[in-house]
Amino acid sequence: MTSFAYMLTALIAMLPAPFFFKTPMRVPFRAVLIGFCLLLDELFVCLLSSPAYPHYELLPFQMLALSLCISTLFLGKRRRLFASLATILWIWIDFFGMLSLSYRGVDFLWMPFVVLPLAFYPIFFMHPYKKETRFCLAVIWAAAWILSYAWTP
Amino acid sequence: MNILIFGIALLLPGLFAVDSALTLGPSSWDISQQRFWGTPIANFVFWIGLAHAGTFFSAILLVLGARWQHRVAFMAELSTLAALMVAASFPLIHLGIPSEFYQMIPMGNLRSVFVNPESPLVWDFVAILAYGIVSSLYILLHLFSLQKSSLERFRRPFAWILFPLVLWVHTIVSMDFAVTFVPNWQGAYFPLYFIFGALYSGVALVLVLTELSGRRVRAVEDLLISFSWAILAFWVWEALAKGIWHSEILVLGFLVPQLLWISKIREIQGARVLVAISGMVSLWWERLLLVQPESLDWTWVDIGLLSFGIGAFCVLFSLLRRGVQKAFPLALDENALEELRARPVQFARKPFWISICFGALAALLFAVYFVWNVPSITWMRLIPILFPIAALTAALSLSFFAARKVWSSKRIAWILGILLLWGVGVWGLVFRGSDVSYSEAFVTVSDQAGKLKSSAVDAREIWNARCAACHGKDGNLNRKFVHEYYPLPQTLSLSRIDSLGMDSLKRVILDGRNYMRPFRGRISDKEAAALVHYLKSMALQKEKGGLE
Amino acid sequence: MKISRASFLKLLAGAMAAVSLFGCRKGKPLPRNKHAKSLNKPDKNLWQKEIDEARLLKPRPEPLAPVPRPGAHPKFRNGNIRFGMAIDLDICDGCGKCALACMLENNVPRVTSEDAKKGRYMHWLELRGKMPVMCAHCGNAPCEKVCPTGAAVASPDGFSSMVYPRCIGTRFCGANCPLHARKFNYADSLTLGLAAKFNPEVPLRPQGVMEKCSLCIQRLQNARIQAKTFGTEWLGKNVFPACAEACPKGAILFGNWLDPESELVRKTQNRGIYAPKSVAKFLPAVVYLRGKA
Repeated sequence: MTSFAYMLTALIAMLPAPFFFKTPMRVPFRAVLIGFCLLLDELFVCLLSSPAYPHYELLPFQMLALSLCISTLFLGKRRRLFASLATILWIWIDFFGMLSLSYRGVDFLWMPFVVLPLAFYPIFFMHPYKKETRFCLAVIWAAAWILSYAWTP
Repeated sequence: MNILIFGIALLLPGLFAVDSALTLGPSSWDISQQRFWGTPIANFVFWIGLAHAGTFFSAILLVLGARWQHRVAFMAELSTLAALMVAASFPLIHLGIPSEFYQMIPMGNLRSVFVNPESPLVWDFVAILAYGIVSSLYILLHLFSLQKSSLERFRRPFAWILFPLVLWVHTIVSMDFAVTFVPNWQGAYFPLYFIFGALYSGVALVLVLTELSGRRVRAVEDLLISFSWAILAFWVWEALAKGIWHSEILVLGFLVPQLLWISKIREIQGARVLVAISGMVSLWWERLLLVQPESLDWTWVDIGLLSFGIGAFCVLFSLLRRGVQKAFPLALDENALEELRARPVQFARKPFWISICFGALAALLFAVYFVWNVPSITWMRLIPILFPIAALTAALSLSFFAARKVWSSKRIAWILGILLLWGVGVWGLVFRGSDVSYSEAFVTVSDQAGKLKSSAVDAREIWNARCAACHGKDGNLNRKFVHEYYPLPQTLSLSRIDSLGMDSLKRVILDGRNYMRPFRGRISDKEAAALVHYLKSMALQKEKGGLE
Repeated sequence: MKISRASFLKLLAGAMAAVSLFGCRKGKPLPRNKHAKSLNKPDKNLWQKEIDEARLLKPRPEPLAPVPRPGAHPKFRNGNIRFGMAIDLDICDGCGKCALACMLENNVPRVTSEDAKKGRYMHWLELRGKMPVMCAHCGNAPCEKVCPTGAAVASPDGFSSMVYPRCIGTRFCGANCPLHARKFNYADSLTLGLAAKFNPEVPLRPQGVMEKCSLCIQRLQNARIQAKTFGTEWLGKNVFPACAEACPKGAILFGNWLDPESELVRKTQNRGIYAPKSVAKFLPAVVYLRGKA
């Protein structure tokens, strides 16, 4: 998988994010929306990537985590709670995914776990609805995305 | 009442199956020779999944602030306890030697053996133990908070501990499969997949239970549809990434729940229950096919274990509900609950953070101890057991704070004392362990292969090979090696040998004494006798040498 | 609740009936680890027959993949011993004498006819096609990683050992072994008369534990004790496992991969070294020789 294709997956993941929680919606409709986006992510990963990429199995779910993180930037209320939950979800997916891959001899990437907890600083210590906070968070999440790229020769 | 009778009807034949499984061992149920795992593991994963419902409704929805959660909370919490007990019994049935399950407790090197913290089964054991204790404490807290409103402020802190723990437990169950080299068990996405599967089946269970108690909560139905979409994404990914595709699972688990979109069908109680049951069946089948994809050459024990699971759950659940109804009549009275809900929500901040610190400290100490003693392990692989330890410690300390609100310190001291005594007792039992019953190894060695030796020359060879390491080649102590032993091995002088007699010396060789290990099974009676003679001849020679 | 005398009796009778049903199991319960004498004269032909039976089940040889020459064990980088084997497939004609020798040396039990139908043979060394296959003693052994109790554990001598008293029978190691070289004791074979103590130095394994090729650890340890007693430097010389000893053509080479003088290292020079494909990436110590390098 080339780094270009990898960035493309990020783009695909981020595109539907603003619409996840924008309009008031009944729970099952929202679930269908998110589930559908996840299905699309899987399809894209299937087309763009190949099983040779070490994180191939994990990638659609990393995309899901990224889009959930981004979607919290557009929340009207309880942004702190959901932004931190989404970040923890990302750490969770990455950590256990990479842990199980490490038993198969895939390198464990440390950097995402250094960068992602940094997101808690803007979440808890900056004003949740200001532009700077959103910018900070976007930068941190983008950095985490780039750093969790498993480079393959 | 009906649930109880239904449960007993299923439990009794189930118990025969369990009895057979325990006496006859794993050959009594169906196991493929490639994977060695069978129905007990599939049932375990299924029931531990159902055990998530309670915590999901009670803790996660409480934390996320869903307004309707109290209507199903008690039901769900009771089903958690019952399902957890059922789930915990299956791995024990699965074991080759069930009575030795405690060997998985990470107690350090107390039995001169460290557990292998790299193994997901150790994580599993710790996580489930912690989850069982913490969720029992949580339900107790919930029940007591009905009577003593001062306890209400501890519920949310407790829920915040339980929320990650429940997800952690199922993540770790998924790791049992994800870390292996079995092709269809591999999957870095398994943690999330298993969590969603667990929550889905748990929601379905709660739906069935609420309907059976004659109530209807629409939000639960919505959740069922939502999770069916989530699980669909995973099934599609299983097909895309690994080529695993079972259409019957998809129909039962995804298509059937979509019927709930049609309001006409949704209004029929029977249809709702059937849809939920269809979801549960599909998930059970999915786990079974995960564990055992190729052969399904079932014996009656496999079916009996399934019946045991359902029966035991129904019996435990209805007994727990009766108990709660007797002791806390408020808990199942919806109107009373509605009033109680009007109480202002508080959060016991200080006890919460203190407890978190305690938990973190306990996990840290454990990690340091382990890494200090077993520096060869990859310490990252210790993390999965650290969190359950932290959560357990934090929950215990939080319960202590809560107990101080309602009980006098004298009473608490009593309870702590009893718990401590009990804990020390259990610790002692585990430390002692059971006898490793290798009675076979001590069967008198019969001369079958015809290669055992008894002549004096052979005796010297045996002496040099077996005994000389401690006693020295010449019968003088090998001080360099045994200097740290106390008591030191006896000096084998002629007078001492004569006073002991040949027979008792032979017994010492065969049965051991002090630091000397028994050699029965490793050498024959004849050889032992030859060794004693050799001993004596050496002592004689020494005596002579001394006289000269 | 008051119980009348009649209903009490009814309850009691019902309970007794239910309890008595527990005795109606079809199979006989197997008493665990009872003291029992082995057969006086075990018929070795029975073992030979079972080997012939089992090899029909696995007519295809393991696919092989080229591997580098085994070196130090990854967990014991500074060790000076890594025991291993090389099986010369150019010489081996699949006679199966190694399999019988292995069973007799290690007191490997036979299995019941039901288990045999399901292919649950205990053979530590089994013949797949004409190829003798046993535990590859991987350096990065998958079985050792998942064993919760440390029963499957790396030996400082560079092979993968099995500590029976620690084993509680989770069978995780067996599931995780891509070569399927691990065997589980489904039955109490001693009580059933399927096991015999041919070799007094090897304990019989109880029901419920895993076992596998140990590279004849009893022989290795005897040789070590001997060397220690006489104070000589050992390095794993002058010791051979039963299969290597039994091979009429000398196709099984045994020795220390780290000792350049050893027969194993000398005779594998300039040979093509292969390992079963499924375990090739785990640094196996038991390899196969085929053709020239």
